[in-house]
Amino acid sequence: MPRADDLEAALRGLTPVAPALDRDRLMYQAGRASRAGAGRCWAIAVGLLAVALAPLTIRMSLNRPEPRGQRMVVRVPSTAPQPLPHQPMPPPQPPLPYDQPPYLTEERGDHSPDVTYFRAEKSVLRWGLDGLPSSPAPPVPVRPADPLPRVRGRF
Amino acid sequence: MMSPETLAELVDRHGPGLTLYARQWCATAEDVVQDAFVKLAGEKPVPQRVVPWLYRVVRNRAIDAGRAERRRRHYETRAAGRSPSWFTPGADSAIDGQVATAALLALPPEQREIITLHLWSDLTFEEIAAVARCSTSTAHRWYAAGLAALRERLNVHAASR
Repeated sequence: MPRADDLEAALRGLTPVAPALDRDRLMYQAGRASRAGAGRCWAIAVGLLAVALAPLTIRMSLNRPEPRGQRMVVRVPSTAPQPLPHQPMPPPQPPLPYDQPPYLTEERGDHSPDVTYFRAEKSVLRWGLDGLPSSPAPPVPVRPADPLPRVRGRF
Repeated sequence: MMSPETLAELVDRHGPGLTLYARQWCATAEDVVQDAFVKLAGEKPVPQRVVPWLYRVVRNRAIDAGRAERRRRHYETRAAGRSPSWFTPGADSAIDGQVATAALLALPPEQREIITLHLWSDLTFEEIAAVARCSTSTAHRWYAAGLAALRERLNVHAASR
């Protein structure tokens, strides 16, 4: 029988029975296990997101807020005229003579019917009925044209 | 993730030692070892110290499997008499494999575990302490006590031959 020191060496000399491991089956299952881990991570992540979103979805569907008008304060600068101190109204002034082109002024002494009508029309357009003359304009005398001098017999 | 080549190398190198280690607690040692390797393949990240991790997983699963077996039948009471040899017959050793198996089964479980891990799995006492969850000095003490008990038991067998 071996001694104490030799006992250890003798025991080491014993070869364990080879395990009846199905190597191919083991490698196949190991490969499945390694891939199943990755799929499980995704499944866990999706599950957590679904669990986190479910109460929020239910709450939003049940407590749907009514649309409310938004209250806004808009500051607009005041354009209202400031009240002026009370002043007596000035007496109405007679209508001012409108600007007339120089060729229609009375200084030129043009009293043809067309010019008179034109003046009246402009006055009404500017001043209204107040622009009409108080009395009709006097008829413009039509002077007969001077006969042409007879010069034929002189040549 | 562990490559298939690394896993295959681990199976070839540590499969027999792991199976012998698992046989201390259960009769389905191969299944326990295979489950441990499959679990290792699914580990992310890979454990830093793979070999002690494997022995730790095998230990836990073998103990669970042994408990399940004892619930089904009185495995432990009949194990010593009916257990097949843990060692290859005709090996080049001064001790018979069947005798060594019986002597190991007669040891207290903690001594048998440490002797198995040190002699046939080549784990250091630091690694054994991590696997068995004891201190290094305790592992040393149990190893010495187990070796002394084996010597005594094998001497008895030697005298009876």
